[in-house]
Amino acid sequence: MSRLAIINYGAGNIYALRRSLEWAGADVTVDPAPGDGCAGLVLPGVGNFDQVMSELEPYRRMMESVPVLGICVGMQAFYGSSQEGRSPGLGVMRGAVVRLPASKKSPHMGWNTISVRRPGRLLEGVAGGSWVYYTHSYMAESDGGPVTAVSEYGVDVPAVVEQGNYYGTQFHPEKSGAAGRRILENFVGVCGR
Amino acid sequence: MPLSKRVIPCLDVSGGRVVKGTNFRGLRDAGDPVELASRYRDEGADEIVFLDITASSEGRGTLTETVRGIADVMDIPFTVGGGVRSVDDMRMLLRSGADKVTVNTAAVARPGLLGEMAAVFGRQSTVLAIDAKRAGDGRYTVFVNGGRDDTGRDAVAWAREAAERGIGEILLTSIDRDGTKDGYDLELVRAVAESVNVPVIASGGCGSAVHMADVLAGAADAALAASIFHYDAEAIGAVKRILRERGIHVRI
Repeated sequence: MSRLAIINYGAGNIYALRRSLEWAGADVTVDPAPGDGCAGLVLPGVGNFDQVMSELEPYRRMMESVPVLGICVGMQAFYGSSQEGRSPGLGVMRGAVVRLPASKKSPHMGWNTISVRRPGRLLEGVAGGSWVYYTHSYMAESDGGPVTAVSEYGVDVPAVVEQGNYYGTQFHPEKSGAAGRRILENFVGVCGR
Repeated sequence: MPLSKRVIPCLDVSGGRVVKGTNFRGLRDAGDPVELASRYRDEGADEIVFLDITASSEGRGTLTETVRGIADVMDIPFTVGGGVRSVDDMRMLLRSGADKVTVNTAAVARPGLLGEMAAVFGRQSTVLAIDAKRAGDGRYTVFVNGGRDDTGRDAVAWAREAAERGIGEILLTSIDRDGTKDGYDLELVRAVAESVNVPVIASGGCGSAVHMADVLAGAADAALAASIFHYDAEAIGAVKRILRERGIHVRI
């Protein structure tokens, strides 16, 4: 069984995420000691950008060596900067995190469908048009590259990204019913290889 | 296709059981919360709201055990409210598995609480519940303590202020319509939803899928209902098919 570690930023609900990863076949620990052995790291989708970046600091080396799944703000941490905060991001994906279009309600909250741009590990067995649950006020600027799927919200919002050992979803797979469960199973599968 | 409109069953819970009243009075038993939540999830609910309706008036904390029981079966989002007075209350509910928490009475008493909650847990988890009733002059005023006390505060102005303070969503209940099955208060919903840039969940008065279509065709982002799902065996999937036939974009 793959042993995954969730980095808990302290404030939000990681209960559902932990349980969903267990349903997907993982053995889950929370707040690993930096340097602990684990098959994959999960950055949950709660908290704000600066808080997330400061909590990630001790794990930078671990993140270079195992698959990393970033959810919502956890995925936004992959980029170089965010309009939500002042801290630099990890910068492993090119681009910046910006506010949602001013013409749309914010947060983008609720169920939206994904359009698949290219195949990827997370989306194996997940059809285009699948419904996923969003709740966010910032988004990655879409420059193709790592983006494997988008959702429409005034603009094309990057929904799923993959690059090297970094995997991310802007939506919450742990709250996205069947499609979300499959995505988490796929990530657990990546970690088990 | 864009963001869908949401259909949200509400579980009003008192003493560990789901109950439902009329105009916030005359409660009837409607079942076990975990069983109902599971059924709604399977039928295609987009989200579930769980309100501990006795918490505020009797000064009890929300039933975290029930929250945990529901969270254990949910792979869709799940909002909890009732008797939330502080950042610590909210933390306890989120740790028990809630995704979002609603606050009403305590925020009216001290509006700064909204900003504190959003700063600690994020806007996406912070939901303002407004219980509103039409006043003699045609305005809507905000009620607290389970619909008992009129604050005299204008509901639209309060919604605007709360949105500026950083909440992520408004759960807007019409006290006049609650439990009546006469349909949502479309005027109230429009007045609030067109004044704020955050999502608004319309609540109070749903007696049929057509009522739901009426409110979702307008400015509401989501529609909440309790009785039509609890008693009338109206399956959520059937309601959504009617919504779709009427041109409402819903997740099926």
